[in-house]
Amino acid sequence: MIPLVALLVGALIGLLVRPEVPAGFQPYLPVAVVAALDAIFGAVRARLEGSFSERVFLISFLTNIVLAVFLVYLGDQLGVGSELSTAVVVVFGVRIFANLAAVRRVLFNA
Amino acid sequence: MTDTAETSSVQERPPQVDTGGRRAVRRPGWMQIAVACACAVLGFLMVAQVRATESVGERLAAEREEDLARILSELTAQSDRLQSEITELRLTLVEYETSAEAEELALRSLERRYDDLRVLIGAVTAEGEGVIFTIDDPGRLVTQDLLVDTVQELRDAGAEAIAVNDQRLVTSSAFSTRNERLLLDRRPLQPPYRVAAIGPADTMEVALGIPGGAIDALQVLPEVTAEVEKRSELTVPAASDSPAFVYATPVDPEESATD
Repeated sequence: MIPLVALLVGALIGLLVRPEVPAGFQPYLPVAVVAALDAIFGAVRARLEGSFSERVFLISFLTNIVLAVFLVYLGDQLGVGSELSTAVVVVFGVRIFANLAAVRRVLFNA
Repeated sequence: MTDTAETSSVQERPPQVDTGGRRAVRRPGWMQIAVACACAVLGFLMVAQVRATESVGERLAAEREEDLARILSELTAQSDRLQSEITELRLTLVEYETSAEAEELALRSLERRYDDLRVLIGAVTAEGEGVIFTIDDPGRLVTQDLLVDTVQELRDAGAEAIAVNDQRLVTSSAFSTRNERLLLDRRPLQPPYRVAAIGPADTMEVALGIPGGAIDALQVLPEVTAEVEKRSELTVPAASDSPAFVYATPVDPEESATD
């Protein structure tokens, strides 16, 4: 419950502040968001399966974001930034789907 | 990718962590606060990203295909126009640079001319190499004709600024005689006459010394001595008063051309 409220509060702050994304950070923000989404859905699944740990969630949240951004940055340096960013999004997308499938199984027994 | 570890395979959790959700309600520890912060950050990032995508996409996505084509052609036309403007401005810049250079050249030649004219009319003290021609004439036998001849000789040899007894010769200067006393511009001249001339020293020395020239003509007279002394550095004073012309007025070059 608290995390959901916090998510909404963060979104509300974002709507009120109307942040301008710095040009240098623009390629990295999408993958950071997708990586964070993966961590969130993983946490929801773990919570439903009864194995949730704040410590694990926080570590996965941070490492996901840092690694995703770092990979895209590396890709930029190697000249394949957009391709690697696609790869990151695909991989995290697959993981999000897997997590959602597990959530569905727990919630609907199907 | 990192393993988020919130998978069913990780089951070895301490019991209190397993019931983290209920615990959070009872007493939110710093872990819960950190999780909430992470969620808030995610919400914020999502909104930021969505807005950043919207700001460009929103406008274009709303347009129909033909409108997009129109926008594209407009942008292309605008780009072409700006490109040609850049070219034009570059050309203007080059023009200005050229004309600035030409103006500077003209200014420099005008300055040069101004300096020449100031020397010519004796408005300024002049200095440079030249000769000092000293004529001693205790008996006051030297006539104005001889002095005029001497000055003519010097000018012919290239003298640019001349003074007699520290009195500058200008374009309107004249020698005259009154009561058998020599005058220069109505001021009495006392011997010995010291003629200082700035110009090519060697040429003027030769010019004064040619047979039948100024020195010969002067030294024919009894008791008259004439000596030339070359100087590498010589000063000729400015005229005491500048000419104030009454009758002559300048004519514009264009006007005289149409005459």
